[in-house]
Formats: sequence, C-alpha cells, structure tokens
Amino acid sequence: MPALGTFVLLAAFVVAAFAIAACVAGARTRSTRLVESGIGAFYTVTALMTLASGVLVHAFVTDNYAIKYVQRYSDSAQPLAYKIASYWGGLDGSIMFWVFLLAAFGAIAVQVNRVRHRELIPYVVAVIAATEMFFIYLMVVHKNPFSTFLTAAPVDGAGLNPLLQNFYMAIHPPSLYIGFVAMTIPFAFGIAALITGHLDDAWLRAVRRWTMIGWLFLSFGLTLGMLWAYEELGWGGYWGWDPVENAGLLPWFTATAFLHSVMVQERRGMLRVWNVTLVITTFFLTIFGTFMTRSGVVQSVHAFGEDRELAWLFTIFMVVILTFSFGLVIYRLPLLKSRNELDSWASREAAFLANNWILLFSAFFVLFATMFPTLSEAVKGERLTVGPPFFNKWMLPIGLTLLTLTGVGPLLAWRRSTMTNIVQQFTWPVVMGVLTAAALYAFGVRVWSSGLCFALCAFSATTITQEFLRGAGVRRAATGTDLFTGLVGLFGRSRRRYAGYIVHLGIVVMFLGFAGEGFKQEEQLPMKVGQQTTVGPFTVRHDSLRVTADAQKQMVTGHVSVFEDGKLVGEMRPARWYYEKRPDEPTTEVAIRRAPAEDLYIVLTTDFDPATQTVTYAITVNPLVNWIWLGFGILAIGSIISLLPESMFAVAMAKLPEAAVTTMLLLTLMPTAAFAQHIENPQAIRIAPRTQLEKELQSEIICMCGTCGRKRIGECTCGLAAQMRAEVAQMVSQGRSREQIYEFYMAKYGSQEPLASPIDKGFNRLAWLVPYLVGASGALMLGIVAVRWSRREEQPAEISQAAPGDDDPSMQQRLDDELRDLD
Amino acid sequence: MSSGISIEEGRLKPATSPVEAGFSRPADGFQPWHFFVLASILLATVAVVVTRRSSPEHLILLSFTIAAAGTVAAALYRMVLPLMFRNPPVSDGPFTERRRAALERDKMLTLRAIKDLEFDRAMGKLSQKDFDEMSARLRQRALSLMRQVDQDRLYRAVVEKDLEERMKGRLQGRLEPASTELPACGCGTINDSDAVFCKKCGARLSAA
Repeated sequence: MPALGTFVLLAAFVVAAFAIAACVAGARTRSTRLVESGIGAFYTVTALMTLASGVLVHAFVTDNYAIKYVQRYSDSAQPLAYKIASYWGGLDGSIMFWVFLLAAFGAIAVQVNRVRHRELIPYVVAVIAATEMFFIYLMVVHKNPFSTFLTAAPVDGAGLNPLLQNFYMAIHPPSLYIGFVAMTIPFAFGIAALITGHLDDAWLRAVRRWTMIGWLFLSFGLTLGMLWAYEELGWGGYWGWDPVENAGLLPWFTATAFLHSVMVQERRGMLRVWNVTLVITTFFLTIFGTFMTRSGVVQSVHAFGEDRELAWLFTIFMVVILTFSFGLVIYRLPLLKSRNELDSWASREAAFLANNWILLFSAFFVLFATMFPTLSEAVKGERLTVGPPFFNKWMLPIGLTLLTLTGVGPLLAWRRSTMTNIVQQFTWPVVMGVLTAAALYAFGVRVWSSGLCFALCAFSATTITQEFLRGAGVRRAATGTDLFTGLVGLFGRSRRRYAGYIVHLGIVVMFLGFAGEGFKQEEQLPMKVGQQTTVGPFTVRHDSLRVTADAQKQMVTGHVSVFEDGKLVGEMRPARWYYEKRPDEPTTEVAIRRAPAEDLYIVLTTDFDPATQTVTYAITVNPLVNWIWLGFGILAIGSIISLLPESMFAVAMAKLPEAAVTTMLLLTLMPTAAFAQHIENPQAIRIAPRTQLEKELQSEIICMCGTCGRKRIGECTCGLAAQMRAEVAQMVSQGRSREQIYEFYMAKYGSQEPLASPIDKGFNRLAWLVPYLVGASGALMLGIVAVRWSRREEQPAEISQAAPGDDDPSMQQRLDDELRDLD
Repeated sequence: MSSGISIEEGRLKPATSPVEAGFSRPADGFQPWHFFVLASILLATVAVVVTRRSSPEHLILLSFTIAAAGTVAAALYRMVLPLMFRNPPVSDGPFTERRRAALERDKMLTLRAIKDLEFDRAMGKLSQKDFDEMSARLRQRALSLMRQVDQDRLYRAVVEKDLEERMKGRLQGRLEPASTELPACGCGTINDSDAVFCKKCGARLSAA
C-alpha cells in the first residue's frame, strides 16, 4: 500500500506536467483535442489525489505502522475520527491534503467555467497544475507521507498530540485549507486573463465568486481557530497573534480589499491594475503563510517545525510566482490601464480607496511585525519576540478605523455625495454614535478603547439598519407590498449589496465582542473543599476533586458550584487529562458557562492535590465574548446569500407566499455559530499571582523552554515556565520594578527574546515605525493619486458617443420596457 | 471545445466535441463511464469478500479507495480519448456564440447598473444632476449594446435562411429522379449528361 501511495504521487506529478504541456500547446496552436486532453489530465490528477488520500486514510484506519507518518500521528487506542483527522495532523499529510483540495476545487472551477470562459480555461488549468506540481514535488523528494520504516515497523503508534484530539481538529484545518486553496482559482483566472489579453470584466465575474468562497472559508477557519484557542489554551483569550494565526489573516485582509475594489471596477471601470495586483498578492500570501508555518523561519505554537530545505524550495517558488505574475502585469499594462476619475472625496469610490488602504496597511503591519524577529536576528543577530501586547497596542487604531469605514462607506454615493445627501444620510448614525458614547460615559465606562468601539458599533449598526429601512421603503413605494416583504425583496433586487450589509453587520457584532475584552475580570487562588470566591457577578464554590481513567488517559476533574445573586445557577467541571502516550503534555479541559452578557471561564491549574482535595482555579469573566461567534454566524449568512445563484433567489422569491416572509426573516437571522461543548483545556500550570504587576508580567515574559513556541510564562505549563513564574513572584515581592525585571531576564538570556514586546528603542522602533511610515506614505500616495484623478481631462467619454438612432423613440421605449421587466 | 457550427433541424447549434460525443450523448445504450462504474463495483465487491478485516470503517475505506481507482481509470480514458480524433473545424466568425453571450451579459449588467442608479436616487444618495448625467451615459451604452445584439440576430437569421435553402436544394436534388438518361455512344461508353462527343471514340453523340 505505501508503495502504491508513492507511485500515485509520482503519477500525479507526471500527469500534471502533461496537463500543462497539452493545455498550453493546445491553446497556442488552437488544437481542441490537445486542450481537451489537458483538461482530462487535470481531472486525472484530481482522481489520483483522491486515490492517494484514500490510501493514506486507509493506512490510518488499519493501523499500518509500517508507514512513518501513520506511526507518528496515530495509535491503536485513538478514536476513529482522530485517526482520520490525523491525515492533516503533520506536515507531510497536510501538504498532500492541500494538493487534494486544490485538485478538487480546480476540477470544479474548470468544469463550471469550461464553456463560458473557454479561451481562459487552458491557462487556468496550466496555472493550477503548476501549483499542484510544486507541492507534489515537495512530497516526492522531501516529505513523502508514504515513506516507510526500513527495519521492522513499531508495534504501536505515538498517537496524535492530545491538544489536537478534539472536535475542532476535524473542521478547523480543512476550512482554513479550503480558504487558502480557493484563492488559487482567482489567481489562475487572473494569470489566464493576462496571458490571453482577455481583460474585460468577464474574468472578474468568474473570480469574484471564488474569492468570496475562499474568503468565507478563511473567515470560518479563523473563527474556528479563535474558538479552539479560547476553549483549549486556557488563558481566556482567543487570538494570540501567533505567526500561524497571522498567516491565515494576511490573505483575509487582501481578499477583503479585493472584494471591495472589484465593485469599483465593475461600476466605474477603475482600478484594473490594482485588482489584478490584489489577486496575485492574495495568492502569494497564501503561499507565504504556508512557508512561514512549515519552514521554521518564525517560531510558533502551531508550527510544524524547522526545515531549511523546505524553506529554500518555498522561497524559489515564491520568487517564480512574483516574477512571472508581475512580469505579465507589466507586459499587459497598456491593455489594463483605464481612465480613472475621482469626482469627489465624499464618494463611494473614495471610501473604497480608503478601505483598500487600511486593509493593505493592516496586512503589511501584521506581516512586518510577524517577520520582525527573523529580521532582527538576521540584521542585528539579536533574537526578540513580537507578542500580543505589541500587536494589540498598534492594531487598535487600525481596527477602529476599519470599523468607522464600515459605517461610512454604505452612506456615500457613487461619484459624489452632495452636502444635502451627507446631512441626510449621516444624521441618525452620528446621533446614535454620540448618544451611545454619552450614555457609556454617564454609566461610568472609562475604558476609552472599548467605549469608542461601542460608539462606532452603534454608528455602523445604525447605518446598516437605515439602509435596510430606507431601501424597503423605496421598494414598498414602488411595488405596493408591506415593509417585511419589501425588506426581503431587497435581496432579490440588489442581492450583493444587501448581503454585503449583512456581512458588515456581522463584523460590527464581532467588534462588539472584541470590545468586551476591556472589561475582563480574573482571579486565581488556591481553594479547599467548601471554600468560595467571587469574580464579577458570580460566586464560585469548590466542591470536590475526582480522578478517573479510560483506555487513553487519566482525568482529574474539579467539581464546582456557581452562584449568581445567591442562587445556584449551575455546576461546572474543569479538568486536566493526562494521556498515557504523552504524559508530558497533559491537556486542560476548560469549563465555560456561556451567556450573552458574559462567559464564566474556569481552568483547573496543575496546582492540585487529590489527597487533600485542594485545587487552584483560574477564574475569568469574559464579557460579550459570545458576540464574536454570533457575529461570525451573521457574516456567514450574508456571505452565503451573496453566493446564491440569482435564478435560485428569483424563483424562491416568486414562489414564497407573503406570510412566509416574516418567518423566513426570523429564521435567517437565527444564530448559526456552534456554541462549543465543554471545553478541553490544555495544560496550564499556574501559580496564583498575588499582585497586579505579577499578573501583568506573566503575560509580558516569554517562556524560554524552546519547545512551546514562545508562549508566555502565564500560559506555558513546562517546568521552566513554573520556575520563571516563581522568579517573577520573588522579584516583585522584593520590590523590583517592571524595567528591572526586564533587565534581569535580558541579562540572563543575552537578548530581548524573553520579552513579549521588544523594548521600543533603536532598531526595535522599526517594528512599528516602518509599517506606520509605509501606511502614512500609502495614504499620501493615495491622496496624490486621488487629486490627479479628480482633475478631469478633456477626453472622449469612456462610453461610446451618441450614435445615430439614440434619438429613436422606439429604441428608447424598448430600453424602458426591458428595464421595467428586469425588476 | 469547438466554436464551429453544425446544422441540425435547420437551426444553428455549437458543434459537440468528440469528447462530448463520447461522454454525454443522450442515454442510448452502453456509455463509457458505465464500464468504469461497473468495474469499480465489481472490484470493490471482490476486495470486500477477500479481505480478512471486517470492521465497517475498513470496508468502507477499501470500497472508497477502489472507487477512487475507478475514477482514475475513467479520467485517464477522458485524457486519452481526444487525442484519437482530429480537430473539428474552427469557425471564428464575427458573431460566434461566445460573443453573443458576452453581448447579452454586458447588456444585462448595464441594465442592472441603471436600475441600481435609480435605486440610489430613490434612496436620496444621488443628486438629480448626477443621476441624469450618469444615467444618460449608461443608457447610451445600453442602447449601443442592444443595437449590436440586434445586428447579431439579423446576421444569424440571414445565415440560417441561406443554409435552409441550401439544404432544401440538396435534398431536392437527391429525391428527384434523374430526368434524363446518360448519353451512350455506339462503342458502348456511357458519357456525362452534358457531353457532346464520346469521351472514348470521339464520335458525336446524338442529342438528349
């Protein structure tokens, strides 16, 4: 079987090469049979990768430990679902999974677009097949998932990392990979359009849908990752700005920018070069993200490890992508250039330009800050860490700006908004924003970032509500239906626009959840049986500690009663699981009690004693965190509505009785985000910090064990992290200041590596200065370009001049009839 | 894929490529893909019977893997089949199927843009002056596209009519019995209907 697997990979490589050759030769010589044969070869690669996947999963399920990859990531006691999920548990298998998904999606894209875009299809096939060839080459020469032991195979496997043995492992990586892989399709169409010179908007329509699909799955994968981190890692947070997390975020930013700027091209014919650039950049970032997580250039809790040969192979591939793609763009520049015109700063075009600027700035900032440790080591020879405190500080204004634009954009008209329009459109949203800010201030809210975020959420939410209500009002006046039917009819009429508003609403709700972070409350203390403590509105009482076991692991579970206002509201079971195969990597089962207003989050630390029944719990109250998951649900609904075929919507709208409208409306707005079950908590050895400074330092000092991917000492569960926490506690009790403690660790380790944020001096200033300088210069360039575009030149209009017959009343009448029938 | 035309029932249709002819002609007898499906089912059955393991997941995966192998075989067939045929004629007339579809698409998008503009105006987002200016340009473009689509329809109607007449002419020629016999010479040679002299002996032929 392993030999069959290797053979299938080799065959896929050869067939992919044939696909490229046949399609390109067929396109050049206009030979239909060569093109058809090339498409057949492309489908063959898909079938071969399906076969290879079947062989590998079969090996997992039948416990074939002769294969190294199976032995490394599975064992006989592992549940079936995790055996299957182990397919993508390691580097080799994850690359094969990538190729499998790319082949499957590529086959669908080619089949769907074969007739409509037949001039482009040969080159689309060639580009996708070339990408497949690269990844298959990686496997065949370097990381073959089917490689076997040379001597006798081990009797049992090592087992999948316990941290990965949960429900999210089944959906988070596939969703992310689908998101990455789906971005290859727009890239392939873009390159094909550049090669063939067919640069009309036809390729854009094919591309927009696939970008939307990729964007949706990326959003889903990122949100699942956030949920998984929240439920697994035990620090009560959901985003650690880990390099692998950032790798998924980077193409998300550029894809979002593309989905907006494409509207400008469709409506005004502007930004054509920019849109092609965005498509190329998005694909490049998916490859770059893969490079980051697999090469070892950055350290991460998620990384697959270090591999220099892989790093070189990826680097060569990325250089080829950039050279070939931008070379083509330069070659086709005369065809791409369009007449760009900006009539007003108060226009939707200007808002989209600002949107693109802020999103690209975000992508650049995250990329630069993620790579800064590598840059610092290369330039200065000094290792350092750029951790969450740094990112959270500098991304905050960017996030708030993005939220503001989410509200401003929809209010502006194409070309220009007059002062009357602006007053009319902005009045209510501004009033609601200001009222919200005033109310929060009156209620004593003093966390300025969260308060401002709430006010901007109110502003944007009012914008969206206003758009819906006014649109429904216009529709009601035009068709004579009721308001609800008018609301639903908006989707039939302007589906993309209103589905986009729902997506915006989802983003606003997510930001509401993010803003709750500013009101987090935490407590950590040892407790005896019967002892209780109060955190926020909850009183938590420790009842007992029990030890149980199953075939795979031993489980230590704390039993806790929760009271609110004196009434018992529930019982919770935070736990720790110790797997037999991996005793050094216990997992922590976080207990979460969810509510719209806040989550009660309890972690059983490793500081427990079953004999005396004493434990130390880390208790956190996370306000508004569930709005993040709800916000994603709303975002997903909007995206799915946007992706539906128009005909489906028109038929559905025609056939639905009016009475069903209200029901349908309610159903579509029901949250779909899956609330997690009882969370599993990865290891977390904590010593309860006694002071605020100690607590802060536990999130500002990095564990130097070298195996945890630069977790903070408050998160890492190894012995060294415990020792460092004890050191910090001692130094704080001795009265040392934060700076003195920083200096202690820098002297001890000879660099700034132990600090979660680099000290803002000298070379380290570049970590935030360069991105902000680039952002500022980007804004300046944008301003200059916008001013140039706003100077109108005396040139023939873009649309053809009035031709003879335009005055023909019968033609005008026909046009009016067709417009009327369209609605 | 060919962009040529074929004549069927007097209407213009895009030609089916050899691949389409092989894979998707109307269900009428044994299709190539039937063979691969049957072979996969047969092999999967044999494998399931012969295998020593009996857990459901193993049997399912085994069947899935064999089905995947069957798909590989079908895809290989799909890859090789087009190479066994000659290229169909390529017609690149000014009004191909693709161009017509593109024109219709552009026209639809322009009409939608006009509707969106009207909606924005009704929502109070556009001044009347801007609306008039933008709407006029979009309407011009829509009219231009409508005229191009009309021209295309006109051309296609002309071509269809011409082809119909030729078809009728050819058919009539086959159905009508020969009204004259071929002239025969005294030497026994049968000559062409319009021959004046025998092609073998050169003798003058009697008038038909």
